Amino acid sequence: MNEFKSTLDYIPLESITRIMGEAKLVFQQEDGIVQDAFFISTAPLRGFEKLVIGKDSLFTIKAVMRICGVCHVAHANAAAEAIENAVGISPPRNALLMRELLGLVNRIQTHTLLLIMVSADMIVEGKRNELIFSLIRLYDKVSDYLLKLGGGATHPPYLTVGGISKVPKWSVLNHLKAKLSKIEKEWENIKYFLLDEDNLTEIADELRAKMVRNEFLASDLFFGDKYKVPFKEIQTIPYWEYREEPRKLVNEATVMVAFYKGKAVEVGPRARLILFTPFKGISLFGLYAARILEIDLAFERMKEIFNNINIKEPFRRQNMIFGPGRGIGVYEAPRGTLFHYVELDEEGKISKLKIVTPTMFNIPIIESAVKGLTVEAAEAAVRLFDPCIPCTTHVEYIQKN
Amino acid sequence: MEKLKVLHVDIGGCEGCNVSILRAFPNVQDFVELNMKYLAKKTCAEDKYDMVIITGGVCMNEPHIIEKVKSLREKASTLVAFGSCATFGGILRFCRGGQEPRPDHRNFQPINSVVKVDYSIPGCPPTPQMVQSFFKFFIAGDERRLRLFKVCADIKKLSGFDLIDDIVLTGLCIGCGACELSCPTQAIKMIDKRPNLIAEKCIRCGTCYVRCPRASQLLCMGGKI
Amino acid sequence: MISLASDNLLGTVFGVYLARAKDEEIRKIKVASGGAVTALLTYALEKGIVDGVVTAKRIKGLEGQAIVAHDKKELLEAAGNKWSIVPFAARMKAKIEEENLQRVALVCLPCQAQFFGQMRDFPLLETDFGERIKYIISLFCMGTFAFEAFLNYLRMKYGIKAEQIKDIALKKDFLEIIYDDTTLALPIEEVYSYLQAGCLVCTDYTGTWSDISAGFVESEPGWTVLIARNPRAEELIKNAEKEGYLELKEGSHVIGEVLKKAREKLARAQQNMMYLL
Repeated sequence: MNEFKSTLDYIPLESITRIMGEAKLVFQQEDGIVQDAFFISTAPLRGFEKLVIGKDSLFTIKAVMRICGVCHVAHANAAAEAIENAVGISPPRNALLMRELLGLVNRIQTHTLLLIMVSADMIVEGKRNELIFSLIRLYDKVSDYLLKLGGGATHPPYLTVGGISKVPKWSVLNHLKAKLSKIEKEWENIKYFLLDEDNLTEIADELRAKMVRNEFLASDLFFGDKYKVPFKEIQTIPYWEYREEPRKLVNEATVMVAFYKGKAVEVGPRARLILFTPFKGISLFGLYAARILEIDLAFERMKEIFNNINIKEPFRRQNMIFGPGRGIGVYEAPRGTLFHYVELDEEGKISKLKIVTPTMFNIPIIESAVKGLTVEAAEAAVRLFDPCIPCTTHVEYIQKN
Repeated sequence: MEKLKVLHVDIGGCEGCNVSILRAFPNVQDFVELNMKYLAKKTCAEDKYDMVIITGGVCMNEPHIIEKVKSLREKASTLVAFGSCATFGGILRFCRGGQEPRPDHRNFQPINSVVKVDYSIPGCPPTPQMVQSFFKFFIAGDERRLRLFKVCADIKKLSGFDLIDDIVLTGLCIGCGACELSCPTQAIKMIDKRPNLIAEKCIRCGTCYVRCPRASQLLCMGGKI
Repeated sequence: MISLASDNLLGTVFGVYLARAKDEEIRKIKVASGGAVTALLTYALEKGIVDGVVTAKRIKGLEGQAIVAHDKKELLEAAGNKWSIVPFAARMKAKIEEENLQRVALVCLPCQAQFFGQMRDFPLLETDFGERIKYIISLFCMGTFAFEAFLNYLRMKYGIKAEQIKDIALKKDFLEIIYDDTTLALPIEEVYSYLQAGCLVCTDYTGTWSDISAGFVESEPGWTVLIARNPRAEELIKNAEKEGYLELKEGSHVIGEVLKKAREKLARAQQNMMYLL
């Protein structure tokens, strides 16, 4: 039996770099080939489900957005839907369109960040910096959409219960709509660069050769559909119940892992594309390609939404009455299907919140997918799943397995 | 000119501040050697950095985080707390623990509860331009401009509530409306020329307080209100 | 106890000038001050250095409204003593965004100059618009009125109604209320209690966060004191002279007078802090 070895040259802080959040990646390897893997998140648990109990739903939206500084819109959308579901409000059509639009901007943001972080694995060295700069420029440009329509490029404040708290100006909408194709063109160039064989590393080749056939879970290509994936079919358990040995190592984990109908399922861009489009990327490289393709689709869909928003119609439901109830919100976050389950008390305050994040589903998938890869490629593969630690370390029991 | 050697470490925030720092990278790379997890293969490898920027709040129930912050202080000539969680606690002030699988993670504190901080930059999150500006004035040694952030480094808590208590309820508010423009959650509305705080929307980021001309003037004069 | 540093009370001073408008039209309207600020901004607008000037215009009584001036005419309409008026920062922002201005000059009070200056230097928020602010011009300020209270006082004691007031000006130790065709001179002590409490603890007389501070000194009637705080501001002033908009003379001899006023404000602040804080 080989000893456990950190993938990287020893880092004093023992954390894996270029992922979102603080985590430890431990491979058990033989001759440089991964036999087993542990993905241990070590980030402290901030406990967002608990901190919103007794609070107002307005605060809850502001708070859950701050679970993650990368996929803030996803949490806001899912929580808003759950609260609306609980009190029986249906937001106006414009509000749903705006949420989807802001969500897509956020999807592009998140995928862009991932592409920056995996560039050191996927793109040959000499061309990396140039790519990173152009991706950051793209990030800035799409963030402007979130700033103008959502009130902030991070944690956009206009997202709220019942719809959008500030109606966008017609001139602003038109201006943003007109600018979109220019940004898309810029993206086309980046995309070409990202997929150009000459720019890709050997690691990329190795990932291309590795086929992984998982069970996939996704509710929708863009927004999310709570009726397609019943929340009651999800089970979550602490990491240390899922992997019991070695004790000392698994005890460090601060996450829960999630299963759908008792099985490990992959969620995320690849799952969405495989379930809802003809996309066939079942190699690990497919994770990379899926993100690139999703940015394409996001741009297309954004254009559609711009044409569908009717500025003369309302953006927020009036006369909302808060009272007791239970509700579910499901949103296709950049990294996969995100669930928010909420219960409100007599006063309409939050009495329970449960969040199941995409990374909770993906952890078991990640750990099995990297087996058989070289240590370097395995590390890259973990990144390609885009595990998000800030989101994942806030999750509670739903049902003990 | 030699580049400023800067290390960024996140100790458990939402990553929003990290993204801000990353976005500033193309514009600061000429004068700053930025070592951050998003870009590097290894971080924190050296014994000494000109500046260490910490984002996120300290989980007081997690000894390894406290140790990490202390060791970063050792490495840093200048220690900067970046973002509201790191400076004043921010949303993490609401944490009360009890959540599986680690119900013991109950209390989060700003970094200056654990170590001495040199500059505190609040914001949820502060912008990439803020990162740029800060480096610019820091390298130029512009003490007058950085004074506010220096003063904030000794303050553990600031929020909309403090603004209301210290400036509005004391009658010192002149109704300029700076706070209204400074709230990232739109918790402040001007009503009859005075700010009104929508209590449940305040996430305790402290941005309004440092942006209030009266409050920041008093802070910079060294007065604790 | 707050200890106040009395050194560096005026902030960074790059150059001090006495200036007045060359344009007769401006001079006629702004006899007392020399109209240097109006002339300087006219220059900046006409040469396209800025695409708008955001300032306050008195609409009635002491109530101000943020407006955008695009030319000399609009500037002259807004001219007047703004030291009694505080327009909301949010309205200024709304104006800038509505017109999509990219290079703005702001005329404001020291407190607002501080807010906008800090915003420009340190954009903490994504919604900040500091990069659009090209010049911040701060007017010397002894304080602003809690104007409902002050107007009510004028009505009760002197029978002056808000709509009668044409202008308010500070002359030596008197506040002159010009209403209808009459001038009422009130000793400054009499009206101090109607200043906003926040102004009574403010220590900034000139606006240390501005690019240019502007105001008057008693020894040079008909002239505006301009304090340039950086090379950019200096350049603007010099070029306005070169292009024939401004008449300029060296002004370092009046800095003592400005400093005296600043010290007065500081002393007042210090005294009031003892009561208020």
